[in-house]
Amino acid sequence: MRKLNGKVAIVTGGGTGIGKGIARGLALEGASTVLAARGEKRLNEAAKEIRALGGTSVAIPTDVTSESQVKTLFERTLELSQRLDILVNNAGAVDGGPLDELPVETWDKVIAVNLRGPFLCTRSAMQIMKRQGGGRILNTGSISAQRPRFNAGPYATSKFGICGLTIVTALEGRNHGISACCLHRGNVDVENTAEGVGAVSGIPGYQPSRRCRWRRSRRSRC
Amino acid sequence: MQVAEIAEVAVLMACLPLHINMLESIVAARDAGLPGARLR
Repeated sequence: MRKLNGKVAIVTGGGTGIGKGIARGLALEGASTVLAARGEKRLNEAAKEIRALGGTSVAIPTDVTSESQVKTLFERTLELSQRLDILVNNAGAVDGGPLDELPVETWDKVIAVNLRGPFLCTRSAMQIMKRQGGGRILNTGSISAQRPRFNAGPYATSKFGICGLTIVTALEGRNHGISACCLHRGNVDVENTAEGVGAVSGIPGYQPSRRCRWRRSRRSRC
Repeated sequence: MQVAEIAEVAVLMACLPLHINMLESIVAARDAGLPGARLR
């Protein structure tokens, strides 16, 4: 028997990269997955891929920085599945530059996606999970919350913030059977890094590791 | 680091009993120059 049979999971940023990978993993363990992201086309493709593997998945296009869209995401999830067991706050934005040159729009954009979004989703999830008597919230942190890099002001700050949000979620959820975890990951070989987001953001080291590039080059030769 | 490595840890976290709270997993030790993977 698979470990997540009967469970329902929302994965934000589920259309691509890490979110899609996590959603696929959850689905293969038996969870019904709800994928949320802004890009409708990639979102639908990701849900289709998961269904083709035998999993259950629906796509609900959502901008996690929008309070009304997040509300709709959780309402629709309840309509479709009547419960919510797992929330994966994965949607994220990467941008940066030297602090003394950083446009306030860049700061606001990264903080909105990386902190406001997880707060809005956590708030809605906790309302449901408290009624249910439990659930798990998994936040995607970053190695930037352990070892900040140059030019990563908004990103590193947001990931330190995610640590704080995880701790408060764990504290407030404890008596309701709600637990929170934080997964700090390093540079991952996903579509965005492959397309050179690191170079655009100016954050040094925001590229897949050498080992990762080596694996990718091997894949492309196979 | 590959997506599958992250997904594996995320699924493990999702499958843990609910009384295990506030688990932090660092799966990027190499990138950060840390001595080894850390789970706390």
